[in-house]
Amino acid sequence: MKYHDDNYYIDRVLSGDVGAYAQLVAKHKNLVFSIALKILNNREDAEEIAQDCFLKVFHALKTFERKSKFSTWLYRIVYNAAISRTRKKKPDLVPMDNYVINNHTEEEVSEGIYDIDPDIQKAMIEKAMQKLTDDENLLITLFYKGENSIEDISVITGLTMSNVKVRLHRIRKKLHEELSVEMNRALA
Amino acid sequence: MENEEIRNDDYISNLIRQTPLDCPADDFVDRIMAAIQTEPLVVSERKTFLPYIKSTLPYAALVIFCLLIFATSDLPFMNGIHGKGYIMNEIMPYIGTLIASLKAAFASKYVTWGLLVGIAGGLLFLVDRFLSRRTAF
Repeated sequence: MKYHDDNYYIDRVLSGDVGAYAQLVAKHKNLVFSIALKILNNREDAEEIAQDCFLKVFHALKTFERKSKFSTWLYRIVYNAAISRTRKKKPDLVPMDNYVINNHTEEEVSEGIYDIDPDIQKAMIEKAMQKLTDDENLLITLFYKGENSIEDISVITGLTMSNVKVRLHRIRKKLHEELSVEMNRALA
Repeated sequence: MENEEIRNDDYISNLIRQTPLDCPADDFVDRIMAAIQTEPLVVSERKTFLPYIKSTLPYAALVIFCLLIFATSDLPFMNGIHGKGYIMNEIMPYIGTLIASLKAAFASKYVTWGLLVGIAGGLLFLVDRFLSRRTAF
């Protein structure tokens, strides 16, 4: 479905058309839910946080000054709410750099991977992404799927821009290594 | 080598973008809209008074401190800038006259009540205006 710019829906809601908020929710619900799910690792909790945040945002919409993008504001609220819930429920998070480096070169992967069936490639990347930590999954979700800029991600997560860049670089490298493992399995 | 790295990055980016996002339950939007319909549309947010008092207290204390020093000091450099002497000899008589005339006005109980109600109403209006300011997000 093709959506309008966020400001279009915000203006309509503020002028009294409450129903327009449904479009805004529908537009952002998947990414909002994904952010919460990546942090909380529990569908029920993620859905509850996402719902609470959409309600909170609705009531605060009049005070949104549009200095930043609506999506950045919304994702930051969700991120903070999910992190708060995590601190209450699960204090131990997996360290960012705790992954195994295997012995496949990037050249080996890039030479073989393009020959594999596209559906298998998708399955491989999904499997590789499952091996990322929650933090890493959140970053690539925001960057690739949400198409947020490095600056936006910095605002949402509270990380510095250089930190976001470094982490994204590491994640790409890690994904490549995971893909090489999956590729070997697929070709075996 | 660098081109190869860029090609790999692009390849991984494309693959990631093709993977679907997680989706909430089908009735997710309906539940939110149902919750919204049962609540008022706009809840005006009010600033609490305490942070404002806290932020202005140091400045108020500084001004009072300076005024005390200014009014009570015998330091010689004050003499040349119409300091204490000027206030005591020129300003204070006028203030004294003003207070005396106010005393006469307040001698009538009807004036006192009227002023009391007027000042209290004005203060309440100003406080309400101040507290009604919206918070910034």
